[in-house]
Amino acid sequence: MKTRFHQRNRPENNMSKKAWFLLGVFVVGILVFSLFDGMLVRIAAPLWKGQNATAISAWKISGFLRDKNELLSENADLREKVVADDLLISSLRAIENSREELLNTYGRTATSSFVAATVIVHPPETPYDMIMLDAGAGSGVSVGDTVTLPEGAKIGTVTEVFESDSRALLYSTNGEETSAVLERGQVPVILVGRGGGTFEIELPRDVAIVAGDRVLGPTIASAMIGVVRDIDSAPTDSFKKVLVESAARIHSLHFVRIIK
Amino acid sequence: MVTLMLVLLILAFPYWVYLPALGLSVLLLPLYWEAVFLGFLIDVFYGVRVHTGISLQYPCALLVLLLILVLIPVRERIRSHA
Repeated sequence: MKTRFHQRNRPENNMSKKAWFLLGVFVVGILVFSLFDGMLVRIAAPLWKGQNATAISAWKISGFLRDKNELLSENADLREKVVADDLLISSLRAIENSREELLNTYGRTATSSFVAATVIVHPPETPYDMIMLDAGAGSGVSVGDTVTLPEGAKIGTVTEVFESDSRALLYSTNGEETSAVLERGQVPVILVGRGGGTFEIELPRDVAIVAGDRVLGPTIASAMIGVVRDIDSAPTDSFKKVLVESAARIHSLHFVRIIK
Repeated sequence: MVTLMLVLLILAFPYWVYLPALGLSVLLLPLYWEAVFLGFLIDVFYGVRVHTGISLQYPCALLVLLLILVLIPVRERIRSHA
């Protein structure tokens, strides 16, 4: 009687075939996507821009359907916010003017050219603290340019440039290290990104710091990077951990400036 | 059809919608190799380029590939031939 053992080996052969097939798919993917990444972003950019427009229209339509009392209460809240923001803007302008005066005294100027850009993709669409901007090489944007809020706070750096779009990495990206200075005491620190628009700083226990302190950029034209939100220190530790929140609300970024 | 739906999710929804959807598709569909391409798409659209090697340039695609590779023998072992 003839016995066949081929049957037993079949599943393993099948598995290795599938594995090789998948590895082939991965290699093809690397080749295709590294060649056409710019083109894919160009194809997707109008969809993202359209999506922003749709979201704004939907928001306007939803306004008609909301309860009157809810709208009145929201209106009152927004009025308060406008007053608070006006005060903040006036104080920032005063700081800006005094900074420019100081720079002029030392023969330096704070002028710089910039490109205004709209944020077409921001977290939480992106799993990382990365934003996509609608200005690219055609508008003079280049890798390494600084991205700031319209109010002046620095938020990131351009890492990739396409013809009409660019990609910027926010300073708050997990693991990203940024030099900064604590406004109180002018202490130089390294901000370590923790994702979600937050940073962490490790400071010696003796350094004075309180929630609400500002963290500035290290250059002479020091723009704000973030604000201290929380301080974690145990009595036995020689260092304390400081949680800093980015000046940018990364989930609702709309306009930014790209400084050359 | 599933791939088209996932592409739409990737383009228009937050990551906490499209990443679990992609994971579920890989788990539920037999040898869903298209998911590797969807991983590449996520990396190209939203990835942070760290120029230290392929594995870090396409982390999402690599993770999807590893997940499918791990699932191949698991599926073979739990398959019922009744």
